[in-house]
Amino acid sequence: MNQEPRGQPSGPAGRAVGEATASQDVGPAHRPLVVIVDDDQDVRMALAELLESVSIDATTFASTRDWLESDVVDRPGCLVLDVRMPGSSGLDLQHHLARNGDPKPIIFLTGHGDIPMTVQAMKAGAVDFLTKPVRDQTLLDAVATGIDRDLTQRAKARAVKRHLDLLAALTPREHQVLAHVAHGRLNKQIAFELGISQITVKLHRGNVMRKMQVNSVGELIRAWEAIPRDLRERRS
Amino acid sequence: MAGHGAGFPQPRHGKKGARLRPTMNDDRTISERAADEDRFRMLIHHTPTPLWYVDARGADQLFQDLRGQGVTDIASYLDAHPELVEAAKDEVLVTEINRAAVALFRAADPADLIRPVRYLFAATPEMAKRVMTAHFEGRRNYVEQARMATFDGEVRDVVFSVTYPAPPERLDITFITIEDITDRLRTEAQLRHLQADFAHAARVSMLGELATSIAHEVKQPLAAIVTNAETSLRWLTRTEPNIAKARELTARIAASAQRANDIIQRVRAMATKQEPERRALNLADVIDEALHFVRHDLDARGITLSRANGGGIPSVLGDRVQLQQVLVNLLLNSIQAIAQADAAERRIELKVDVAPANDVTLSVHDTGPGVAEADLSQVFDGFFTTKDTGMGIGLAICHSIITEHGGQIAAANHPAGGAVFRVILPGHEQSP
Repeated sequence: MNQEPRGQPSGPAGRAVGEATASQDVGPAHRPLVVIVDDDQDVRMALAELLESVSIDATTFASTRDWLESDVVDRPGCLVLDVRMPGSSGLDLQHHLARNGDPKPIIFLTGHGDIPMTVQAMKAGAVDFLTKPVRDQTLLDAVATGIDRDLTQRAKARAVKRHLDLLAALTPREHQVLAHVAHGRLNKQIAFELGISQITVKLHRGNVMRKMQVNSVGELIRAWEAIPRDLRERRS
Repeated sequence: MAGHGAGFPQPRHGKKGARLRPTMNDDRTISERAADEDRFRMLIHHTPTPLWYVDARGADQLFQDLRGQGVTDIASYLDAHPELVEAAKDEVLVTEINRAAVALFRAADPADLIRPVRYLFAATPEMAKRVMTAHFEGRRNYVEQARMATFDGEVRDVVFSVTYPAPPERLDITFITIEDITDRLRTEAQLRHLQADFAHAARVSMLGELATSIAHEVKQPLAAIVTNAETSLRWLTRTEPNIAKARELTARIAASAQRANDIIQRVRAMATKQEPERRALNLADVIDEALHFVRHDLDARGITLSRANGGGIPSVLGDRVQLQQVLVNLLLNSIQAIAQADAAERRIELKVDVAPANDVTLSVHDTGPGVAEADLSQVFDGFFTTKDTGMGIGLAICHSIITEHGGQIAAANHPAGGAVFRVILPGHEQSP
């Protein structure tokens, strides 16, 4: 392992998804951290220094493997990755992360941009594909975009998690009613569909609104839509 | 004997009656023996090797005196008394020569060669001392590569050989042959030159293949320089400039610039044509340098390189650039073999070890498809190639460079799969 910690020491918190809202991300564990992976020591030190000069925490690794094997705390941020390195390449890491459902934004650096590789990386969701030597502002802009993207993703993931937790508290019948409401059906249609009275449907709707902690049907539908389809469509 | 080149000295005999020394059981008459000797002399006379008969009994006398004085280290003694060597050059006499000797010295008159030996040492005066030393030490032969000044003022490269007489032979005949090797040396030099030119041409072509790799290698320090410089400016243009940071970053900029320069120097050494040198080299250093040229190729093709160095590897005597060339060539070969076969396992093992007789072995083993058995015997032939692109000169050059270094190179298929190229170079000195 070849970790060269820089900037703020990371706090003791582990994966805190869902436990705090974005506005509460102020502790050291929630400060953005940029992970730099480049086999060239001079380059990775230079990049870390640049980020430090604008008060962004950075940590550096000589290889993707070193990073994967490290116990660096998961913090919002992004990866700055040389596309070609001994052992596992930057693109390999991108695939690896995608397979593991880790959407950490990646900024690729390359000695010479070859187009097929750039296309491949961008299609797979890279934030940017920059050619060395990279201008400071170009990199900082990309890093800012990467961090924003990660913060947004994390906020979204937290919201989904919260909605899912709330959804889990619904009874099967309430869940059914919610699904029908989300599909825009009227109470009487739902009553007919489920073979219950409209009064009962209204009762369930009230419970759903309360349990999902929303104040309007619009809010309820947005919450429902925010949850990925495969997670919200429960047994029916 | 008429018709054998007028003016050549005729074989002489009987000038001194004591020169024929029939032994007791030799029942031939003196005249029969004399006739034998004449025939022998005719052979000598016409032999194409330049020959001298020298009467060195004057030196014998001197040596006896010196031994009497208890001198044993004759070389040091002669160093201290150069006048003795000078005197010997005049006292030791050429008694006979043959036609080839006359031709070698381009003498107008063969008689010009029948005189004190001084003229033999005109272009290599110090050799006289060594010839005397060998004589004093009772050796039978002394051979030295030397230079000879011909009578018409040219200097030739020669192999000068002396055979000293020992009883019961005739002590008045020391036998000298001088072989003119000027043309041979010139041809060898031309050959070496051609080899170096060829190696250089192959290097330049190899650098072409490595252009991407080299560009990448130079870009790393440049990238570090640009970023460090820009960060430095950021610190300096603040309302309260951070001088300490700027200083630290500037030092790193200088180090990276130096590194970029080193890379360019390595490339330049590869690209320039220079006379091959012979220096004591640590093969591990040569490998380090060679790897700079191929590292990017290895990474780009996802090939892992592992190195193993045995202990106590002696240095080798050689030309740094040419040996680097061999290594880069072998590595490129392996890389291309792995890439072309799209091998699943992608590994190259570089091993340096010491072999018996203080030899150094270097092996490059790859996980490519290996070499077809039928091709094994021709991989080092010029213009032999199995690659889609390539001229087939790389391995031929490796072979010629390694041979020029007194070593050997061989190709084989490894029992565990893949090709293995082994280079053996004579060790120079034990490593420290």
